Amino acid sequence: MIETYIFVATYFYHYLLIAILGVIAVIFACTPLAIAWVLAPKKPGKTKNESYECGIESKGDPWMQFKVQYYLYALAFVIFDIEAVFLYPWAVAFTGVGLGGFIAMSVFILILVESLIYLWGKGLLEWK
Amino acid sequence: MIIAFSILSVIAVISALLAVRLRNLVHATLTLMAFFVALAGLFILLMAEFLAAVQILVYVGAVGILILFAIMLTQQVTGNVKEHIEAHGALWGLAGATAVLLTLLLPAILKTALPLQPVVETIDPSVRALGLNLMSPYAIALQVIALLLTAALLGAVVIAISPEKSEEEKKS
Amino acid sequence: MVPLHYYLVVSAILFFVGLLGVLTRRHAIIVLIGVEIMLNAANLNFIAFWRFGPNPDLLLGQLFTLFSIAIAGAEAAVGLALVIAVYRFYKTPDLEKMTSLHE
Repeated sequence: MIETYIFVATYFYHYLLIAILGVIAVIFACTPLAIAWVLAPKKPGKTKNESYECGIESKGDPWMQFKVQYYLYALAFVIFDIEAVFLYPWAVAFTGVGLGGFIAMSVFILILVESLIYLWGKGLLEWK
Repeated sequence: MIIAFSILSVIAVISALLAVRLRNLVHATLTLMAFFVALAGLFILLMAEFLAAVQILVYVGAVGILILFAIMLTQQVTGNVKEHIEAHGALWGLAGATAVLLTLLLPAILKTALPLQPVVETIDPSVRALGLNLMSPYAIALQVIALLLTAALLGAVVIAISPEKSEEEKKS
Repeated sequence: MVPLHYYLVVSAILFFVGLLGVLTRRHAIIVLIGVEIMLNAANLNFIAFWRFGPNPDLLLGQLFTLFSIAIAGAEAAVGLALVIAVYRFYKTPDLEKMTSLHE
């Protein structure tokens, strides 16, 4: 019983530290903004509101349409991210799974490499 | 425990609600990411550490970015204030969703006798057991997932690249 | 410990919110966001039952959620690609203006 209690307490103690760190990070990021908002005098002018102090004024809507290439990169990233998620438990358990696990993971990677070859062959990895 | 649970679930519900109600799509996606993070926190409370990490890695890192790029490709981001964002019969949708919540989900949960305490308190939180399971009984499922991901990538690429562009490639 | 009821109620409310997004909005991407929220609510259910169940060492809930997350990633990829393709054809992401099958 007491071991259970210690186990649960240690588990949550670690995450309590992370939570405290997160709260401190948020405060650390927000305090300068809040101080600047409180202390700085608010006198907006035409020159002050320009986006750049020097340089060419940008034209057009900032919400412009993007090239579809961005989406394709994000797509490949999602798929190979999920592959990495499955690779991680395999790598941790590598000593326990033997040859069978190695073959299973090799087949898994080979199937996914197929899609990489497809992307490469279609020339979608190059930025045009 | 209960405090952490309350904070996380309130963040999750509010950010999910904002994600489906906000007019600006980029803000909606950012609140969706906050929802994913809060859900990862709930996973940690349930001692599923690896899944919390996966949640952040896949949803916040990859799917959120994917949605942002898709929004930037479909241009209408801020949403015209005059334009309706609600579907026709949105009230019926609201009524239907509320009916599902009140008649199907909540009574089923509240009427069932559910355990107040976990049966097994100490759980081995290591990823090693997960890897061992993934290799022996679930090896076939793993290959099916690989096939599914490959098919999804190829299909999505074929759908997403514009038809004019693929015709140009045929000519060259 | 927080009882199992609480997790299930939160999951039910999240499912409701996702359903609300699917049923009441007309933007295609918001509908997909609603679907993602519903999938995540289901994942929360799986993990909660895994934690409170009699055999957590079998890791059934965790493995199912892992596969579910992988499938959700693939679903989001294909779904958003479809949204982009449909947008290119109709010039609008509004689901109610896509009516060519309707006529």
